[in-house]
This record gives sequence, C-alpha cells and structure tokens, in this order.
Amino acid sequence: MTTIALHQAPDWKGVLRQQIRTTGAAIRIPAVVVGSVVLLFCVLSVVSAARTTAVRSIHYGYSFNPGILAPVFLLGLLMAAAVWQREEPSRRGYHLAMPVPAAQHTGLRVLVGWGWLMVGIAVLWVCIGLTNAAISGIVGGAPPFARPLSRWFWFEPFASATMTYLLVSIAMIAAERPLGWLVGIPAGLVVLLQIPVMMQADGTVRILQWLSNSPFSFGTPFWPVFQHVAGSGRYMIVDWQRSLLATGIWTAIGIAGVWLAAHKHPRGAK
Amino acid sequence: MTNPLPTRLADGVMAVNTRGLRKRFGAVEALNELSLQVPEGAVYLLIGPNGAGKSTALRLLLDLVRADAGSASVFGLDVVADGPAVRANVGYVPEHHDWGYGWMRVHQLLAHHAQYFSTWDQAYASRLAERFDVDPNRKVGDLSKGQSRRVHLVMALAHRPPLLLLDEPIDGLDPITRDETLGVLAEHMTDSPTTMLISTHHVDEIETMVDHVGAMRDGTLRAQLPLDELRGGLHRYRADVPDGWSGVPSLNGSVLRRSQGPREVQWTVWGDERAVAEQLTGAGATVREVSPVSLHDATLALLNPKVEAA
Repeated sequence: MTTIALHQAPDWKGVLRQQIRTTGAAIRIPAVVVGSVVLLFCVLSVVSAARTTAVRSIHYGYSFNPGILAPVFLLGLLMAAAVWQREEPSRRGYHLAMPVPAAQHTGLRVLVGWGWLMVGIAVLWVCIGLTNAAISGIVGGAPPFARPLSRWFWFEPFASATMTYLLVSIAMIAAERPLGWLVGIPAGLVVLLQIPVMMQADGTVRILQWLSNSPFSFGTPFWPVFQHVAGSGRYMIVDWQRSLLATGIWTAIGIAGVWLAAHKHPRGAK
Repeated sequence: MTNPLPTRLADGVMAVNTRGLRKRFGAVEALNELSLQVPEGAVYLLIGPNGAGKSTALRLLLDLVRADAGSASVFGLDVVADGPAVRANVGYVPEHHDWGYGWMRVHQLLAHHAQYFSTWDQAYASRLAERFDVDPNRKVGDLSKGQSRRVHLVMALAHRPPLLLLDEPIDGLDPITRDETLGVLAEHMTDSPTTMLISTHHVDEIETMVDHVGAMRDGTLRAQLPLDELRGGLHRYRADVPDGWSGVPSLNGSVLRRSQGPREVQWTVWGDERAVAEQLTGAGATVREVSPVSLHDATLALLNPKVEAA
C-alpha cells in the first residue's frame, strides 16, 4: 500500500463553476455574432417604424409570431456545435483525462451549454419585447404586436431549442463526423420515406401519414400549427397538448441519447 | 532465440501495477498480457518501437482506453473504478498534441486546468511557462507539436502529481529545449516526490535520470528490471574466432544481438560476465574485449525482433 499522501479530486461545485466559465468562453464568438444580428434587426425595425407610415406591416415581422421559432431552432444547433467545437471523440483526450468521472463531466458540460442557451433565448425575447415596446411608443396607442393566447407559446421556443440542442449534442458527443450524421439521417429518412410512395404501398403510406401528424413526428414540436386570431393581433397554437406531448417525447429521446453518448467509452481518444 | 531477461520485479510498493492486460484494436493486438510494475519513486523508462503498445498502456492507466482483460492500478487505486482519483494524482503528457480545447488561448487553458487540481502551484506554473518559453496568448489549436509539448509539460508538472506519465515528452522539441526540459524534469524530481513513467525514443538523453527499464514489443513486455541490474548483466563481447567456428550452443538462449565479421564476432549477451567469457573461450574463441552496453545499445538488443518473448 502506498505511503504517500494522495491528491483529492475536485468537488462538483468547482467543476460546475469552471464549466460555466469555459462554456461561456467557448460560445462567446458565436454569441456575439448572433447577438449582433438580432440587435441589427431590432434597431432596423425601430428605425423603420420611425421612418415609415406602414408601421404595422413591418413590426409584425419582429413580434411574437410563429416565424420567430425558426432562428430559435437554429440557436440550439449552433450552441451544441459551439460547446463541442474542434473536440470530436478522437480529440477529446483532454476533457476525459480530467479528474472527474468522464460521463458526468460530459453531461455537466451539456447541461451548462443548455443553461447558456436558455439565457440566450430569454435575452432574445427581451430584445424583441423591448423593440416592440419601442415601436409601440413611436406609433402611439396600444401595443399593436401580436400576443399569444396560450402560455405554451412562451414555452415553445425554449422547448424547441432544447430539443435541437439535445439531438445535435448526441451527434457532437458520439460521432467523429457529426455533420455527416446531422445531414445524413434526415436526408436518408426523406429518401426512405419516398419508397412506399413510389411503390404505391397505400397501407404503409397511411401509417407514415399518421406518424407524421402524431406526437411522434419529429416536426410536431418544432413546427406547431399556429392560428392568427383575426382582429385581435394574437396567435394561438392549435392543439397545443399535442405539441406539448411531442416536445416531451423528443426531449426524453434527446436526454436518453445524450446519456448514452456520454457513457460510450471513447476508445479512440488520443 | 528466447528472451532470457526478467520481466518481473522484486516485490515492493508499486506506483503502477498492471496484471495481464490485453487490448485489441480490430485485428491488431495492442497489448498482450502486459504486467508493468513501476516502483514508487522510480524513473521508469518504457522503450519499444512504434506500435509496441507503449502509448496504449499509458492511456489505459488514465482510463482513456479500456482493457479487454486484466487489471491495472495506480497507487493501489483501480484505474477504472477509481478513475477520477487516479487522474487527480497523475500528470500526463500525451503523445498526440491535438488534444481538444483548441479554441482556447494558452493562458485560458492553464487557468482552466488549475481549477481541476487542488494542488496547482500557480507560482511554479508561471516559472515553468517562462522556462519553456510558452506564449500565453497563442491559440492552443495553432500550437506546433513542440509548443504543445511544452504547454502539456507545464500542465503535467504544476500540480506536483505523485505520478508523471510522459509519452514522448521531448519528441518534437529542438535540442536546446530538449535539454532544458530534461533539466526541468530532473529538478522536479528533486523538489517533488514523484514517480515517473516515461516513454521515449530518445534513450541516450534520458539515461542519466532512469533507474528502471521496461522493453515492449508487439504489445508484450520483453524485459523489466532495474537499470543497474541491466548494466550488470548485459555486456558486449568482442572475440576472434577461428575459421569455420561453429559458435557456442550453450549461449544461444542468452545472446540478444550478434554481428559477425570475417574473423571477429560481437555478441550482446545477458548473463554472468565471467561465465559467458569462459564459455566463449572454451568454445575456441579468443575474447578481446568485454564492455558494458549503453542504454541505447541495450535498447537495440532488447528489442531485437529475432528474440522471442519469454
């Protein structure tokens, strides 16, 4: 038995604090780029509102309408890519050689990246809200921006970004060439789904159509069906329970995938 | 030829102890029944040709690679079950310098590293960075192989770990930096109680520091012994031989290397010096010179592909 005094592994609080700092530094440049684009849009919309009489048609574009979900969906993708940039499994030796359990270390990093993502989306919403408020001030009168009828609407962008982030994180953690998987799987599925149509296999086509409209469809949580409530300037999500269920299903798949990827021993790590 | 050299050390307190490690990458057998024993406080040199399994053995001690069979412990801690505790006590310089966090500046990486090691000595880290001429503002991903080695050496040494695993630590360094690095390692050994397991092809330069040697080939340990024992038991014999000389059959198991001229033969033989000389003389050879072998020559003899593992 050894007689020397062994060093202790770090405590979790310290590792968490360091991961928050490190992940923050890793996403700094993408965050500045995205932030600049958002800021530019906000400033341009306010400037446009001040200059044009056709204010309503312009500022609707930056209000809480369904169109805003598209970039939020992309933010999840960007965040996962930024957190694991230049760190494919074969180049992850440094991360894995740290004196903490490897799977938990990986999971913690994913969690911290998700936390930053949520902060980013919250900031995005605040920017859009402030822009709308500024436009309302310029136009005068009651705020003309679209307001959601359902509280689920506020949750939806956070949920869709979370799902994207988790699913992309699986590829980033587990795959040596994540881009290939991220492009290849959807492209492969699209091609595969065409086969029953081409073969006129009506039964299979009906099953696929049912699946594509079910909560198990990948698209359901990302592209919920919105309806503009005429005259109110408001939107509502049609069948929000279905969207919520789909979000739950795909978030669970994402978490399970990240867990499995984090526990996969990187046999090729240098 | 069968390997006559010992592959087991005498019992003692071991910093690293592996038992029957096996590892296969596809069709390639990287490790085959590897049983390394690195005594506490030793400077253990692991030699072997490229692809011998040295790096795999070191990575396995950090749980970067999992063995197919066998077990390994560091200071009595299992490298898989107690991985974090093991890694907290190890300073590691990897063979491959493209090792992640390439987007960071060097000073950021050092600050990050410090947070994971409670014993990080910032003053020592600064001194090491200065001695290794490390540019703190360079991006880690843009570092050359030599620059990256120096950064890894700072990270490995500055928390004064009880065990250093150095995989080709002076590879890619210019001669001046190599010399500086070896000086730093020697000083570190004096200042901090450390066991060092070092894998390098630069055996000449490391010879003065080393006290134990392990030789690997094709994933198998060919020899493992204290350097003094190696020097005491391995000699080169130069002898004149008559025409048509048939050799010394009784030495066949002990000859590690042999080169033959028209009338002169040189052997590198493991065994008692006097007994070997007597056997040569008895067989008709005239022994002209018996000399100790350098670590470099010992390496060539130990890794002779014609010598089979015991």
